[in-house]
Amino acid sequence: MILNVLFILSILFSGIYSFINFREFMDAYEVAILVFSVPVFIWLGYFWSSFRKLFLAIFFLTIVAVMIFQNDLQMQETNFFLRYFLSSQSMIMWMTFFFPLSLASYLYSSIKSNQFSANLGSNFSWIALTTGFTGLMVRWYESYLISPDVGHIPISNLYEVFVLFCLITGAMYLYYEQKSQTKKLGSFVLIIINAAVAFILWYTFAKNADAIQPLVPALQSYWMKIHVPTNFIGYGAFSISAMIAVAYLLRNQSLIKNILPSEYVMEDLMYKSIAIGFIFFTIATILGAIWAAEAWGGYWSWDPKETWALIVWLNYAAWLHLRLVKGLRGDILAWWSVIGLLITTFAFIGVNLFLSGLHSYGEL
Amino acid sequence: MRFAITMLSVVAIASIIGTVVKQSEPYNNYLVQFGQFWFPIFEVFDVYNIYQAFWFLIILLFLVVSTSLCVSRNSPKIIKDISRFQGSLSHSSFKKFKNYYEFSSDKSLNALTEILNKAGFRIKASKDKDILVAKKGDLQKLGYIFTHLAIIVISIGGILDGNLYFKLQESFGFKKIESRNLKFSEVPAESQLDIDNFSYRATLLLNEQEKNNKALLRIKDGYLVQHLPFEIKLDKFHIEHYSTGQPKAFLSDIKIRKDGQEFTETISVNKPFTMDGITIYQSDFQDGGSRLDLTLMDLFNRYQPINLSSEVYKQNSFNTDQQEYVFEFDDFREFNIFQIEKDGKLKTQNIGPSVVYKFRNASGQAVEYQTYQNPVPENEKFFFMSGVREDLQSELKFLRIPADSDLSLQGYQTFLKNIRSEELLLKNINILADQASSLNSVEAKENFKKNTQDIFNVYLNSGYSGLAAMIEDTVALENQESVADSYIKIIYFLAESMNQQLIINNTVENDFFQDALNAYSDSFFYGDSPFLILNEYEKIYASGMQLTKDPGKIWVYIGSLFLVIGIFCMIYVQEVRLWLIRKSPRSYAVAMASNREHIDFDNYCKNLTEKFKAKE
Repeated sequence: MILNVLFILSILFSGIYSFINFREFMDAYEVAILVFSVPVFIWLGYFWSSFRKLFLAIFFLTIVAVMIFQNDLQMQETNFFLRYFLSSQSMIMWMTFFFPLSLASYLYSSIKSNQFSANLGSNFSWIALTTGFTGLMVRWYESYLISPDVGHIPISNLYEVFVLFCLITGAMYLYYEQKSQTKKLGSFVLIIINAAVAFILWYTFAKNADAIQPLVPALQSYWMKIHVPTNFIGYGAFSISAMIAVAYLLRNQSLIKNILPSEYVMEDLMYKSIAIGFIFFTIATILGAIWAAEAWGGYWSWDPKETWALIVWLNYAAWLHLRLVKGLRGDILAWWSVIGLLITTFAFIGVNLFLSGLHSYGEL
Repeated sequence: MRFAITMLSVVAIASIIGTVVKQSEPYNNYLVQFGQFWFPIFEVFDVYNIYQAFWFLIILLFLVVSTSLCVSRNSPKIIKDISRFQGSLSHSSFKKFKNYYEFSSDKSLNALTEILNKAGFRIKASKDKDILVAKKGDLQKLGYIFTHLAIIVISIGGILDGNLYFKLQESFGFKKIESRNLKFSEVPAESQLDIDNFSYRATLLLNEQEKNNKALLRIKDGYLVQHLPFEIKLDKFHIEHYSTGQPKAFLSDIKIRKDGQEFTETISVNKPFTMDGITIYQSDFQDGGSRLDLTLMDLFNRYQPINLSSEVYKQNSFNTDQQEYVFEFDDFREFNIFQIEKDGKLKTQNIGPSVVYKFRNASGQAVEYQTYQNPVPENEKFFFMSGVREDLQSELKFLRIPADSDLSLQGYQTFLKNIRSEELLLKNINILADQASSLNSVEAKENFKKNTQDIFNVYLNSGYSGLAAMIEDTVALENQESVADSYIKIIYFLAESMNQQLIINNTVENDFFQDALNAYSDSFFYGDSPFLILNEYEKIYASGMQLTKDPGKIWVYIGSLFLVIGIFCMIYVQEVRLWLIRKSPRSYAVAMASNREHIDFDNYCKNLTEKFKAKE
């Protein structure tokens, strides 16, 4: 009860505080996004009760960080708590610490059938989510401390969206974990999250990609706030389904036969994550088209990123068609879902690496 | 259906090819890339403009038609399904269902009906009072119609905005793509499109203060001229910067004139302006012929500095005693953002203007140069920088001339004049020889003077690389390093003593001579171009705008909305058919079926049965 009240109050506080203090810096669309996000977050808490705790933890940690900062960016060097815990880079580093721990715990629990270790795996993932999301929130704030015109939502370059990918995929996995009441798939899903974590670490230390950069003119639009997260819910869901598909395909291997949930559960989760991913990916592509019409003068320019989004879309449309209309089940769909992830990965990173086009924000 | 899937796969593969082969490049690039043999073959299949290829559009059109047929064939069946109930089944046949439950309950059949109503079921009254037939989730079937209709609507919108209309006009010979480089006014009528053209994406490049009422439509390796219902004038183009120097905004102040009325607008990226169904976008910018005031300085001091007033894109020439040189400016960049190390940290900084030009030597071969106006900081020192490359694929190689204490080129110019003065050289060699105590005979002294002069002249005529070649030819391998060392010392000593005046006047600081000698030596790879000193400039921009007329857009959006609703219905609406039978007053049997039976459905059936059983 107290939790519910705190949850709703914290959302209302965030919404109203932002509305009163920052309204003059936002255009009408951004105000609309702010107002709309209040019921969306409340609904999320209603839909998934664990989200309330997560939100409250992020909320309080962010508030504490902002209070310690006192509008002075130098504090992240001088203040002990900011330097090692609450500054955005530290928080994200903590995320990259807890996700591997989580994977290790899940793996140990799979091998030894140890329930305690499985619970530990979940909890480490929850901590990783809390630190990662807090990191992004604080990063948002820090970007405004650099200079008010530099400030922007931290989903604008490859480093930031990789963090977002880890967090969204982790959150969706934890939701399914609770819903299907099995922690046995953690060993699989956490692999893809940790692959992204490895990339973040390499990108941070080899390329210094964690520095906050101002936005290029093409990205200065309220559309970014909705297009990018929507897209990453799609990417995250497709990744989860592919990793479950891997587990599904290995279900008859004698070594790991006993550590997997039932075939039925895996099949069902595979479908559910592709279904939710497909809806969000469809919406994201449409939002992208509307944004493109506003920024580039055409809702569809056959830009490589757009074209590959279409390929990804056609791929999962065919997948759903086969399952829903033709009633296909089993190994073929599982393989298809794994290949789907390869296509999605290419659309996400490969296009930026190998092909040139309008979406050139995420070059390595 | 099978054929449609094949065609869809062809579209997918063609789309992928289109992402790998860069689209709509000048055809020459493809010729270079693919060679004489493949270029015409790919051209036949329109690989260079694959998304506008006739065969590609025909396949898309076929898919639209086949989807339409599919919808028109299936829709009546679906609508009938929705309006009709499933048949009543005998108890023995629905016993076989996976979700079949028998239960006893205090509730009456009416009470159960109530529960079903609340759960969203529609119920058919049956003749047999003991049997209930119910169903829910018809929206799922509507989802099929929605998604397929959506794809048709989106495609129609896309076709409206495609250039199918022009393609038809072209194939009947009414219109023709122009590929010659002509002024807009000289383009023949068959390559001009009038105001009524209902959809296009044209570009318009205007210099500041320039105006036009026609825009350019690029197609394949040529273009068309698109007439606009208004005239656009570019007043000014500006770039706003972040404090770090990176660009923050690109803005064009434009005036639109129509029927004697004038509208003043500012467009920028993400903030276009729409008028008469035509949306005007900021798409790119370039130099619009900036005015430059320059001094040309020969790097070997063979001729006096030349003053020159010019413009970007203008060809220039100048004469020296030996020959005539020609060069043209390609670009003038007012801002150049560099990553500069400061206190161990990389910082972005704007280092000011640069000019890009092509310099032609006697044989007419062009070499590209980029020269920065201001000295660039490097390790607490400042250098005047100019990059050179012979082909556009390679990196620029930089000539770095040290700045003097006033951050000017004066110091280096004096240095250049002095080291090339024979009189000064002889004087300083004499001083050097007099100081050397080891030279006790007159002969040895003369020998030393001659050798030293030779060494210095080799450096003057071919730089350090000339010296290295000379040492390799004349000195035994084991001594080369020590000899090179002493030569460099001699050259350094002479250069310094020939430029005493610079040191006395405090014109230069530490390391200046080292850097200046390096710069002089590097001048030999720099080529024929003199060093360009930019004295003053007036920046003039050209702004690239895009003009889009897309009446199909609204249909694409409406279709997209239907697509999302349709997908949502198809995925998340659970279709259920239910039969319920009262076997005896308090004992019932229920069976439920769906076209999709998964875990959720099983749970759903269980829960519903629990509700039936529950006590009031």
